Amino acid sequence: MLAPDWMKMAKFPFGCVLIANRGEVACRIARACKELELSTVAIYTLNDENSPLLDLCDQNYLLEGETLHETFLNINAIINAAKETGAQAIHPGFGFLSESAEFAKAVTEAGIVWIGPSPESIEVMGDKMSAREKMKTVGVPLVPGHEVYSTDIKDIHKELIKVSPELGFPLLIKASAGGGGKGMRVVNRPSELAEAIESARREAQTAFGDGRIYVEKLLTKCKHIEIQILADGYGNIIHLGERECSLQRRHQKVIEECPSHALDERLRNRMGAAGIAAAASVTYMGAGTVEFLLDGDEFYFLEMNTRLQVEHPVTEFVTGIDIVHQQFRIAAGFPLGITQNQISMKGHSIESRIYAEDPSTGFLPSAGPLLRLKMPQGPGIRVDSGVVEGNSIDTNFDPMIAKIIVHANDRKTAIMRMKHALKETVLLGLQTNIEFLHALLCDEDVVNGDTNTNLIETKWPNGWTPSEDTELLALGAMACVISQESGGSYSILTKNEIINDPFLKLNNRFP
Amino acid sequence: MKIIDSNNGTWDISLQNTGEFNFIRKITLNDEEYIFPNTEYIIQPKTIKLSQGGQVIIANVVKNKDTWWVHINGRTLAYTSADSRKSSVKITQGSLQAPMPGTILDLQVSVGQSIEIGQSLLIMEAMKMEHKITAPFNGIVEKINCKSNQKVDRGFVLIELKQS
Repeated sequence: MLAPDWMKMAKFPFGCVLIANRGEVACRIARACKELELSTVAIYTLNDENSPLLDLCDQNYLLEGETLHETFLNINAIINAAKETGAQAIHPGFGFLSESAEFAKAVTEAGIVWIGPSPESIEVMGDKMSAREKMKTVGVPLVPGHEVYSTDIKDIHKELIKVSPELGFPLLIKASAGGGGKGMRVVNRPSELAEAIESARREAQTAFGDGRIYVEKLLTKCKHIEIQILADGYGNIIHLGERECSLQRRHQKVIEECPSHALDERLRNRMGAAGIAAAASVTYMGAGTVEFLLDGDEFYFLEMNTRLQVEHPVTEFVTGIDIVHQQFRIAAGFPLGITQNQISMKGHSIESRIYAEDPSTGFLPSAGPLLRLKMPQGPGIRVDSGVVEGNSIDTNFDPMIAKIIVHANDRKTAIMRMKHALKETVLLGLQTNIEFLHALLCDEDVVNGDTNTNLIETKWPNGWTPSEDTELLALGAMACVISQESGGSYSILTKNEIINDPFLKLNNRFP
Repeated sequence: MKIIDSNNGTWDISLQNTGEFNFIRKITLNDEEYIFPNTEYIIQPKTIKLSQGGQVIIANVVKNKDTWWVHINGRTLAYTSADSRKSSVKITQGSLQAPMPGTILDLQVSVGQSIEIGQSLLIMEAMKMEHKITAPFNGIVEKINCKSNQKVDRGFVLIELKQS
């Protein structure tokens, strides 16, 4: 496959990209490829036979196997797929192998262009403990904590008991290989340490195949602020401002926005400079995100994500820069072509993550068929999703169904726009968090920008249940009866026997 | 036709079609008449249009097995048919059901063991996260219906407890 004209003069030209991912991010990348005149290869499992991704890509390659290890985490199988389909570059998306240094190395060694940073950068930053050590050397402030190097549970326990008075409770145990809230445990008192160490290690071992943990002082009432970085590998590193992701439940982000209500120009410059320093310390290349906790106007390095991030669209809306396009340009070997002072932030953007979960049971995951799916439309509304009506959500993968992103002139209008977009979203067949997201955007503290990472669990410790409204229940009941008695035109989908068994196809096993 | 809402309210609704207009004739909630404004309805290809004195409400409805899913005014509601409710499995008092489909990771109690409220009984995994199932009251473990690595569906009775 010949490289498109715009890439002809590049150092590492490529014409065909394999997308080593699934769902919404794979669709997002496939669309960027189309715009950039790049040919695309989708990899998929039998589970995803009806995914819209397969129609978006020029070639579809079936990965055989039951488990994620045999499919989306199978380095050899994916590189084989690239070779067989003639793909000259691999974009890993986020999740799966996106932060696997081993994968990045294998791709490069196979003579395929890797859309991402070097394996060395991934390795240092992907391991939270070595990232912390690295940040100490370049003076980026860290959350007070302690790295544990012993492997024996009893030794770890002794060591943590020893350092805990200095750090003070509550503590947060984190997996060194962690991410996405996995392998993380809050410890409120010494008596909880033993169980937390064990379960964090077990979850980390299951999720990442690496049970190493470290401990941080749990900072509460902080904001989660992250800096988007672009680096070209020739020493040009810029930041695209911040994203605020303070609204989280179970350490997973729910609503993100750009810019943050908490940052003025001075603080933005300080945090931006720290983000650039962090990226420079590992000679970073590509798009990456440096995450910080912000406490007043003090900030602390959390981690660097060496990949595209779920919430990248809010930055794209506000800066007007397409981050995925930039990833392809950088990987092809072009210098950045944008300088820091060319970056300006316009308006306000908010992203809501639609999860398959039941807010009334404390946000436990749900599963089921997407019997009816209508996403919102209108000015300033972007929907990133990887499903269509008739697909099923199962528990094999992360519970995110889609993202709704809005852009408006100011924060107030952006909130209004998002609230309306959520109300317009129809997703029937399983429990989702859509109504909770709406309620969140009605909350006074959220409206005032007075958010912190504990807001959701403080306000709704046992989950959230919508208020009861008999009139609404009556209208709903009428609609059911009318639909039933008008002869099943509304239950067509049930006749297709959409299979509501999440375990039928892929075994429920994780890395 | 009778259906049950998420609040366990039973609705009985009858319709009237004059040929020209479609109306809701009568609604009862838990056998008592529910007073509501005159409601006309129009069936559209994918939605139902309800109108109450000039106010128009669009409802999206789908049915899956015995559950109706309805979207109205940004709210999603689920209803079940009254007939299916009768035949559904009786839930044992004090039984702990799987709150989601997933895999049992760690069983932490055995039959006959006394347990305290809030005590962790087993750990499940779903969507790559661990979830702790805890005791809702003080009591004794009467029966365990699952084992480690077993995959369970939502609603599966995991452990039966006797309150003390």
